[in-house]
Amino acid sequence: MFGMTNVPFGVWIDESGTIVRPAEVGFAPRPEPVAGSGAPRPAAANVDPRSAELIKTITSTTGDRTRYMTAVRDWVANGGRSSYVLAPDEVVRRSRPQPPEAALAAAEFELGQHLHRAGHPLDAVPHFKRAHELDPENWSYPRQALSLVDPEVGQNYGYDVLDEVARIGPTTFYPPLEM
Amino acid sequence: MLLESLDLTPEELRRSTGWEIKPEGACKDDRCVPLPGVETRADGTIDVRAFADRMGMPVAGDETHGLWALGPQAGASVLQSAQVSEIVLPDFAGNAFDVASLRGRKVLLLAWASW
Repeated sequence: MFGMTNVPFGVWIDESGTIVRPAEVGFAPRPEPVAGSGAPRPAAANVDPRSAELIKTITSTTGDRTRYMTAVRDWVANGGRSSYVLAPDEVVRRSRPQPPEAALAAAEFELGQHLHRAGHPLDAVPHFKRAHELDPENWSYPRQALSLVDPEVGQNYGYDVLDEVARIGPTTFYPPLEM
Repeated sequence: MLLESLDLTPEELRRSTGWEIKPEGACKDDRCVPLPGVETRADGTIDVRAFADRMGMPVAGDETHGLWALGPQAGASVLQSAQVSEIVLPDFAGNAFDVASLRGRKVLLLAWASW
């Protein structure tokens, strides 16, 4: 939807129903866990060194995680006068390209989701795989597919997401903000 | 959008895709796309593959389950306009929520996950 390729992604829609910022990475600052509070440690601290390095690379493109929230607050306060608001032509220009492969990937993924929900998880797998092959930089496909894995069935999608991120390009995971 | 048949009447096609078949072509909002070679057959149906081909919409199929999915129109970008199209999503209670009901207010549509 709107060209979102991962989470968190945000879209701004003004009072008239006009998109004033297209889909883009929308992180909010994550509070540091208080020592001794029992709060979970960040995921990167619990993985092997190779994966930790990859996660570090992936998240390096997100930069200062207060930026998006600062921009949202500015828009709320200043509306159309906010410097973060984009003209309609610029919104369209910045939205994600949709070549035939990406359009077909969306159709394949919809089939996969339907089959999974209809109780045919194994029949959904080829469609999930095909969606990822066709549109490899849309990380919402493999992430959503993996979230649907039923441990009882034990199917896999033939790849590990972190391996795929390394193969396709870590900076595609969270495209840098243009703001 | 999911389809159980690739032979649809114009009305079924309109309900499924929002595109209405008119003499000038397939029309939605203020746009019409000419459809040379795509005609309503004697039995009142339209060949969805021919329609999709003309519209630049891919078709994915699952023969085992007799299901097809019509993808979005391929093009230069996901957004063809900055105006929001109709978005209706299920809320936590499973009820349909129309984003248009928020007109008059700013909307931050945030896709998020808990993992």
